[in-house]
Amino acid sequence: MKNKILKEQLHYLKYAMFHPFDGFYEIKYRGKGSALIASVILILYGIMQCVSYQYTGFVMNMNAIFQMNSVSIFISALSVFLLFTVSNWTITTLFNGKGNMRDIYIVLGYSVVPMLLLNGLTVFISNFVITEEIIILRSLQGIGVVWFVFILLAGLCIIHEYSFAVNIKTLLATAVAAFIIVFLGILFFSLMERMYYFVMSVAQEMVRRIN
Amino acid sequence: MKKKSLLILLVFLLVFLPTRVYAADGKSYDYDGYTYNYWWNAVESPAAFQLDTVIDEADMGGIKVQGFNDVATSEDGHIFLVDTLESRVNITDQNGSFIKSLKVIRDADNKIVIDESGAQLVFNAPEGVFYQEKNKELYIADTGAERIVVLDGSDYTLKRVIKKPENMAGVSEFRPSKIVVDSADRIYVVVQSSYEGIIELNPDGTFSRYFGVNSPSVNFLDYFWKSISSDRQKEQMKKTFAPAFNNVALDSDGFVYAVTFDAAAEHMVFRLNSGGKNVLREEGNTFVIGDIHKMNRNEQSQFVDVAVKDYGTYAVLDKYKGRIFLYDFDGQLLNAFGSLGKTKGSFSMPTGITWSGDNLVVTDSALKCAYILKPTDFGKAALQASKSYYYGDWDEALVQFDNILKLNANYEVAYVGIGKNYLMKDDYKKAMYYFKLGNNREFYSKAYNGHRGEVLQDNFGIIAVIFLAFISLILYTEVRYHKKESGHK
Repeated sequence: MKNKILKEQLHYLKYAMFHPFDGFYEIKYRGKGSALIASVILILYGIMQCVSYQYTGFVMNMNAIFQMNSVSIFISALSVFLLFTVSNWTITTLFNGKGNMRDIYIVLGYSVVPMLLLNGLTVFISNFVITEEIIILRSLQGIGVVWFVFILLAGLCIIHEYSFAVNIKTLLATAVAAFIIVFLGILFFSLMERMYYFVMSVAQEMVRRIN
Repeated sequence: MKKKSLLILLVFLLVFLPTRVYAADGKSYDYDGYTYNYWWNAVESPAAFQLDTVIDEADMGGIKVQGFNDVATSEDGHIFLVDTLESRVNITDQNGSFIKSLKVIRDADNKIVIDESGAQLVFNAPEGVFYQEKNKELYIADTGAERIVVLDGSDYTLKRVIKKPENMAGVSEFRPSKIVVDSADRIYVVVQSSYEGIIELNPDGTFSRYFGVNSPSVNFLDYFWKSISSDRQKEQMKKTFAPAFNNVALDSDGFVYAVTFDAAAEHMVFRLNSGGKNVLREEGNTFVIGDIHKMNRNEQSQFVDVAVKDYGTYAVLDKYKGRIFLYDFDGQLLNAFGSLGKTKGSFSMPTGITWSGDNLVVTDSALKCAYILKPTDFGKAALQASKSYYYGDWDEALVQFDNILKLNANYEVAYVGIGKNYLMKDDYKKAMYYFKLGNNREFYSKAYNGHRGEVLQDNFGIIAVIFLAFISLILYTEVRYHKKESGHK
């Protein structure tokens, strides 16, 4: 039974890649999506970023591998998606979007798949190319990005029941919201740091006076 | 028992005595060198030069020294040092022993020359000197007197005096500061803070043209404001002038090298062709800008002089950090060393640099001395490798690069050099190995192209079989599919 559900969900993952409008309709309104699968895809994407940092062929790879930090690569790859999910959700709730956070998360996770696969392919082939052939691989990567953007736009249109123009507007607003979130985050942490040092110095002062 | 304790003492001494041994002759001074790697990180390296001799007032036979401002050498080993404040040109041999000091000019009959106003012809704050090998003439830029004095190269008697040419165009004052003369006897004169370029004079002393373009780097914000402001507003604004050249040198092919330390300049080092265009090769890990400051532009190196070897390796002198940067003809940084300070071997206000054979002569105006720097083992190998490589002497270059790697395993230039050698011999696997160590992607790709071709050729049979099998598999499935389809009908 469980196996069958999983098989069906994977079928709709593939379906959404090639027919995003119908696919995401089924996923939202008939419950064919899975946040678990989306999470797995995003984690795989984070791992793929680390892999491509290290294992891209020497001709294409400009990274200083000896100073690679896989944890920071992984986190910075995923935090962008999390930030997008949260800020898109905050904006679309204000703009009468029908999608909830889970829907946005699933759309995002699912639409990463073509980019993930093409990146993997590029990393593999890049070990067998010379400088003149790099442009082929770059265009392959470009196709992955365009595909990702297309599915994402289509998916967001469907789950929020937006027209294309409204969708673009909310995406711009999303960028602003993301910027504000990051700004507030930095503000919060720096304030916390100052408060910590303030409390610490007061405490130290007290300890010294009492002694 | 006694033997054992002696042995322990010996081991103790060996372990705890300082292992780094300095040359004990009392005059050598070790510099700390470095280069930049592919990612622009500074990588430690042995310095290419060490201090050999200090030339100061004590060596000058009782003549006062107030600081040397420029230096030139001749092929027979003489070193000419210009002392601007004392208005003298002091001459030493290649080891720094005093030969002669020039102040009052005499003619061929050993009479003191009188100029047209009736006064003796005496140097007046000269700033530059150049020795031309072809005619054996010593050119002295007599800055304060606004003239160029040409002396005979062997007995230092007056040959001629070049004054401001009557046909000179432009607004630059004729205050010659630095000077070079090429093999066609054309004279290139640098005037400090002249934005019109280097003054080129014909052999007879008439004005030819301004030479070299030094474009300022334009700031986008300034560009924006200028583009929207009116003509009257523009008049009020600060004008952007072309940055001035500060010093010149000549290479063996007759190209003029020039340096500038103007912060507004786009390039810092120039190799000017006869049309005055910059043709300096910058194929190394970094551009030819000396130290890399990723954050602050104001901390860039300020080059005061450049010295070019006949095989295109050049040294530039930075007054901001008191460093000498050694580049090869491709613009690859071979070595950087030196520091500011008041102690022996360091620089305070470095002013001039030139080659004397394989040695470097560096002058300093604040420390009132000149240094003769001698190449270290590493430096010798680096220069020799650069030379052999430049002249296409590949086997010799390979030997020298191998020597260098024994002294400095962080030296990317050597790895790339060895890789190129193997690439020429079609030994692609070895070439790939060395290019990878030298972080040279362009040549790695070339070597890999050859290697891939070889692999494909060797395994052509297997690849063809796999390819054919793949095609026939597709054909087979297509045929079966169509049979099924027609069967359904």
